[in-house]
Amino acid sequence: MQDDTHDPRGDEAIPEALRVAMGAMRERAPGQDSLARMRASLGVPDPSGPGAPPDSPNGSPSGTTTGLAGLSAIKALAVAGVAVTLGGLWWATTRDDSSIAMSTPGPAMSAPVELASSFSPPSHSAIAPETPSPALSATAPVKPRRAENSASASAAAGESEVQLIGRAQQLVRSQPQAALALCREHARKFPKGMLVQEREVLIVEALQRMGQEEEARKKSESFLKENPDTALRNKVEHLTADAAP
Amino acid sequence: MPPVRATPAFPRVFEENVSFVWRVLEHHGVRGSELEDATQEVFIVVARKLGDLDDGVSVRSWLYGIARRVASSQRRRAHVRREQLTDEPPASIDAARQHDDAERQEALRLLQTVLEKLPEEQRMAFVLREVEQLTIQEVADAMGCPLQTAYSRVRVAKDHVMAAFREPQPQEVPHAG
Repeated sequence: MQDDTHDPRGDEAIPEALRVAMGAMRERAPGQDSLARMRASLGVPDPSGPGAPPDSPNGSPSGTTTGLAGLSAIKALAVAGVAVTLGGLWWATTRDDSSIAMSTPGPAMSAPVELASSFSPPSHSAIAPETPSPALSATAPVKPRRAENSASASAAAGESEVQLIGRAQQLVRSQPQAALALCREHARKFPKGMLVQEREVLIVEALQRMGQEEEARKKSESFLKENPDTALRNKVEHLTADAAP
Repeated sequence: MPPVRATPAFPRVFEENVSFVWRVLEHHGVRGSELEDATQEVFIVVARKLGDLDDGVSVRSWLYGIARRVASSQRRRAHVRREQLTDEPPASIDAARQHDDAERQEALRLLQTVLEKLPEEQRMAFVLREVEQLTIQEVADAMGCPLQTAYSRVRVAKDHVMAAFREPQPQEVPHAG
């Protein structure tokens, strides 16, 4: 066991220029015109309100195609079909999702329109992860199948962090206290590791399973406050929602 | 009573992830006018498949898989060139959010250049983790690889990127006289 393997690079300061560059890259997004066209085509209401026009409704197309006119015939058919399908989907799903304020009534429930048959999206199963379980245990005591490069020290340090969280993941249901201890060990060794978010979610789950629901709730709230855009939001909310009366 | 299935509503998925999908498509080489079409295509698939999304699967990992496939077929259809460094900032950057900061653009260009030299698996692992801030588990899910592999890919890519940003960059030669 690599008890003393602390990966110092986890704490390594990111050069300011890199931070700036990643921020700039992260800001790439479709323009308002593009967004408005996509919303219209997909039947998504403008979140700013039904009467609120886009920033520049007739602004420069800036080289992009204009709505459905720019789509191929197949895609236009698909979009038309999906707009109807979305009505049903949206209507069915928003009933349980009060977080989305919809000001327009749901379209009439109609039989879903089959999309153009030539449009063959990837199947969900093809997209799903190879490992059926999302648990980290899939990676537990595995040897790397092949080295990504010669940076073996990196791999060794990586195994340590991954294995620690992997073990916690394995134990969280049966032995939440042990899982919690592993999470604390991880926090000590890898305060800024790559698996910090996974660790925090594990702590919430462990506390929950130990019956410390109030503590779990506080932990989840602080986690979501610190990581508002976390991809683990649904999981955390689900964990704490399970305990709600 | 069985727990209510927390399938996110389509409008919510669209609003929360449209920029992410847009960037993933860009990173996979979709450009210009194709971007909007490709993004719509992704969300058409999403609309069809959202109800089948398993509870334990991250939406963004799932979206990444769809976007990657759409980008791939888009490239085949339109012969869109692979991501290349351009002198101009991408047209997709919202003008209102675009900073005319030369230093910022220079940093972005450097990052693009470094990423361009990495194998796609490492490049995308880095982008998903460090730029898009997905968890390592999500990166692994998105890329369909073991978590350890995802971790290694991010590490290796990050090492390269950090090294590049630490190297002194060639400065423009000032005009003499």
